[in-house]
Amino acid sequence: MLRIAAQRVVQGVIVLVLVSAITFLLVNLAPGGPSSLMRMDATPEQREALTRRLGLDQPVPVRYLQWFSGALRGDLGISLSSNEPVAFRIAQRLPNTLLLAGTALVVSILVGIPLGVVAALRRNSLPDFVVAIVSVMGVSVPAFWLGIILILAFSVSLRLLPSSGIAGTGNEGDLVDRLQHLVLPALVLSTTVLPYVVRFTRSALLDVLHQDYVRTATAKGLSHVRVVYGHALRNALVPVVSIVGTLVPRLVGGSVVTEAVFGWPGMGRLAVEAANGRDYPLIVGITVIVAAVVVSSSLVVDLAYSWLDPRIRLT
Amino acid sequence: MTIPIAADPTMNPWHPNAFLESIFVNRVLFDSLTRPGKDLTPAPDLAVSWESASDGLSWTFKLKDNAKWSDGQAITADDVLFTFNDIVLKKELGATGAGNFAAVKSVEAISPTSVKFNLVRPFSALPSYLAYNAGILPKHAFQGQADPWAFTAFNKGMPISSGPFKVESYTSGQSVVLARNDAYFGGKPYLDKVVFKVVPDSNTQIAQALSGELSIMIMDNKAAVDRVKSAAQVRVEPRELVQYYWLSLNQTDPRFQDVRVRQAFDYAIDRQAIVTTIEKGYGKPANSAIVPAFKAYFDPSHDSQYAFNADKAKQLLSDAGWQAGPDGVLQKAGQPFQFTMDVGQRGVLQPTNELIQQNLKAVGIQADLNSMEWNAYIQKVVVSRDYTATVNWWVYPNDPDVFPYFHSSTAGKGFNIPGFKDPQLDDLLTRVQTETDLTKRKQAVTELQTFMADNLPYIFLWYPQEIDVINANLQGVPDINLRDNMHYVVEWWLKK
Amino acid sequence: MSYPRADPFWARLLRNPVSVGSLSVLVLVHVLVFVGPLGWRVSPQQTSPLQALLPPGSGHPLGTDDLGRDELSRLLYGGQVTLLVGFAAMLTAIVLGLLVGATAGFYSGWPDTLLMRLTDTMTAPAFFLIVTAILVLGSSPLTLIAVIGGTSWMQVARVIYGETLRFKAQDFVLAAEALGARRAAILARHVLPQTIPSVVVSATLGVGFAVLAESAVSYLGLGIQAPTPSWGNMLQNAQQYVWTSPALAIFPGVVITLVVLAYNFLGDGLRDALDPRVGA
Repeated sequence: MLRIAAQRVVQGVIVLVLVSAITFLLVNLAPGGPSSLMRMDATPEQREALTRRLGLDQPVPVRYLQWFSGALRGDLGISLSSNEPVAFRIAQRLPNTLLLAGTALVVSILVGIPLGVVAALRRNSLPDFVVAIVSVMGVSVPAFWLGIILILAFSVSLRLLPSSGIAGTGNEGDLVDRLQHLVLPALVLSTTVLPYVVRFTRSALLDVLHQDYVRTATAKGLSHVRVVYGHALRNALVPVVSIVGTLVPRLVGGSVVTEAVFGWPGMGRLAVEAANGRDYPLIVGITVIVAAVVVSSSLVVDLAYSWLDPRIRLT
Repeated sequence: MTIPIAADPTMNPWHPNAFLESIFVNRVLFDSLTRPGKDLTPAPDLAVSWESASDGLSWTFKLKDNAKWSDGQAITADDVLFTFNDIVLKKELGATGAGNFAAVKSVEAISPTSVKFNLVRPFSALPSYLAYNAGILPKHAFQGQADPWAFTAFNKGMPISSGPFKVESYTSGQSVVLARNDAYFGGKPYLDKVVFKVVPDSNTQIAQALSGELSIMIMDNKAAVDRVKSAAQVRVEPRELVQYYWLSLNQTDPRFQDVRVRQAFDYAIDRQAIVTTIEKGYGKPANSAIVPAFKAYFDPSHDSQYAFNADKAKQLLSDAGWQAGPDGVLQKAGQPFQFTMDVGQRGVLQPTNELIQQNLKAVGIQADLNSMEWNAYIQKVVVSRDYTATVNWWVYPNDPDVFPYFHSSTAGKGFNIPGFKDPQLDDLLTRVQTETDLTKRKQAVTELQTFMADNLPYIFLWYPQEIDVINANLQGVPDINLRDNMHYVVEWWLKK
Repeated sequence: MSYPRADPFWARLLRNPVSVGSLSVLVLVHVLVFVGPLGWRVSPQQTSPLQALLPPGSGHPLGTDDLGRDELSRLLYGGQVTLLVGFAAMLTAIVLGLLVGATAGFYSGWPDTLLMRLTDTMTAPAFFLIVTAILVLGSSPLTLIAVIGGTSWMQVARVIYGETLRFKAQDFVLAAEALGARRAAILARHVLPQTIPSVVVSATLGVGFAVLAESAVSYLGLGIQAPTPSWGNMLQNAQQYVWTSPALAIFPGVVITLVVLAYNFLGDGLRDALDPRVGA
């Protein structure tokens, strides 16, 4: 297990390097430049001066190598749009996204697995149908639409919940205030992954319930509860674990829109700002950090996968 | 008292990244030599009086003698010299707005409270330009900083400021909180705090204005104005702006060099309908670059020129040699009148272009739309000038000197986007720029407006108004646009 | 052990009322969207500023939009664009996901490693790749199909990978190997068919996801560009009118939700109909 983990770490590093190179080269292909140059009211002299100061007059491979040698030393460069170190900007925002995505993940698992179990056990009856509608609604409604409707309902009409931000100004230490700000965005973000948890729990449990060893256990006289929870569910959790692995990138993607609608100061919004402003070092920095998160989460998931089902040998 | 901004500000008015949202914060934090008066003419700020030399080649400003920085140090001529000689005029720094001061050669100190701007050519608009995002920076704070743009403790942290409020805390992605500067030399502000809250989504801004989380905001998107007007907890106030929307027809394209064609475009486009539909009536059609807000200069006699008239447009096009083709598109010498309009995705440009496209179609001109992300659009249209026609707008300082946008010398790489060249126009622009006698200047501006209306270097579209949504508790807010209003935050107060 | 199926899958599908309902809805929507404009011959692009934001009435069954264009016509033409993009993007994602996931799961060794690491690689920069690709290639439907399909195959690949790993370890595969069958043949004939239910589920969720992705991309301003309507850009444009004319957002929002729901329910029904073990 340890040898495999070490191998995967090495592979992960290679992945990160590849990702950084591909992203760096590709985003520099995009037309336009950093926002400080791309303004209606910037003079040609200004553009020239800034191009030189930001090092943009050098060829792309040279700039990548400069970035790379810095990255090896742990320096991810300076953000073009704020002059602060890229690592600093990411460190400001990453915890907020982890909070939001983590909460959404936990909510979708805590709600989704029981819903999936209910749907599987009461298959094709009313509860199954209701669960299907509820969970699928979340992934059928465009997130930004859902977001603005919730804001209109809960913030404007009912005045129950705040409509944006992570905490009220001046209340940054207040836990209740922070929770209030977390509710709507976490809810919206969790709807984007809830259906997957429900659906796969349901189908995985159904698969397992029809396997011979389950029928054997039932025939042997084991109670229904022990069969389901003691044997079936553990095996059914295997594909669900793999689903959790796929949820992480989905949450990362979903956070872009959710954070934009709710003004959540996280990585998703940072990514949008960086892309719009062609903040090349920040873009590459975000990509590398997110890739690191995804690679490590997939490593954890794969290791858990092989632990749960001893028949699966990871190569 | 909370104001929304779309993203994190940079707290240095000259920083290359300090545009859009930063403008609001910087105008509160940093006093400048002059500030926009409530009638838009330059009013005293750090400078109490000013006068131009008789040859017009220099301006002398007398400074306040009791002005202080937030750390207690005195604001002197040294700070003005540092700001201009070491920052603005240093071309390699690429400071924002440096182009506005291209006519300034150097700034020298006559005494600790008197500075002289030496010019390369007469520049009557200098006092107005000094009120336009031209805050003075503290020299002592920047001592030892090799790169003023990398001084993030100042630019993205706790700057030493001169305004009625100073930075108390800055939380990236969330807010900048300013606290009252009790020692402000311009009088004590009423408000305790000014909070700039980061709210990027415009619908969320409206929701927060209605729920009371925001005290004052600009309604960029006027679609919701009726709903907001009916809310008792806010008031909606229109404001005059120094802004006009235009359609630029690239003068390198021979089709657009005929003034009859340009006039036809103006008649064909129903500009009043655009104002009614897209600006919800907050604005009026424009026929020159001089805005109605310049009460002393604006000439209303051109107001009804080019009222929507598709038949007149067709007539002019026909006079210019365009005949109807088989598919309804006009033709000349076998070539159809077809071209692509580049559309930048910002503000109201998209729906404006869609309406214009349909207006042009009705007179036989086929304009295809190419919608582009803003950054890419600037690269293509402004930097490379690789375009045929495009709609955009200009915002400029509170002075009728519009030389940079129209002079033949600024075609190609400068702000003369259509590349229009005419010696008569050049002469008028130079007169407006250099004339110091007020009566003669007014005369020149009047002639300028007539020339612009008759010759259409740009197709002028409309002058927009700004809509401010203000919480009923916020009082003492002068009737000027929000950016200029930032200079008057010291007068605002909150009803309990 | 598997039980013989009594009747073909389409008969079983049609016995499920939810599936029948979804199928009907989808057929109805597709017919309306693709055939409707032949009957309702109103231009989706003709603006009429004086008739902006009209409620449903004579001449405009669904009212007009913010520039006075007929909403029904825009909904129909917009549907054509959105559905075509959605379907094609899903197909792209499925094909890519199957190829990568099955190959990686079945052939252990360096192809496995390479392909799964590739899958991981693609996930992180997906947002920037989408933005860059659209900026460079323009916002045409083809670009969107490539971009949405090209960034959503990872989930399919991971699931197929997991399923392939699971089935690879099962006895019937070991038996086939012992009998001398070629690896590729085993993959194609024994393992892949076991994954069909997952593929079907992924495919139908994939269409729904692609339709939603189209609207998310439009929210960021990169989707199908106006004046060409698409459900995504209609929904995006309607955001600013949610205060005064919410109907503008309701029409595209409802059809998107309806279509995605129907695809999802149909997928569920198909999965149940294809599952050889149902009925026990």
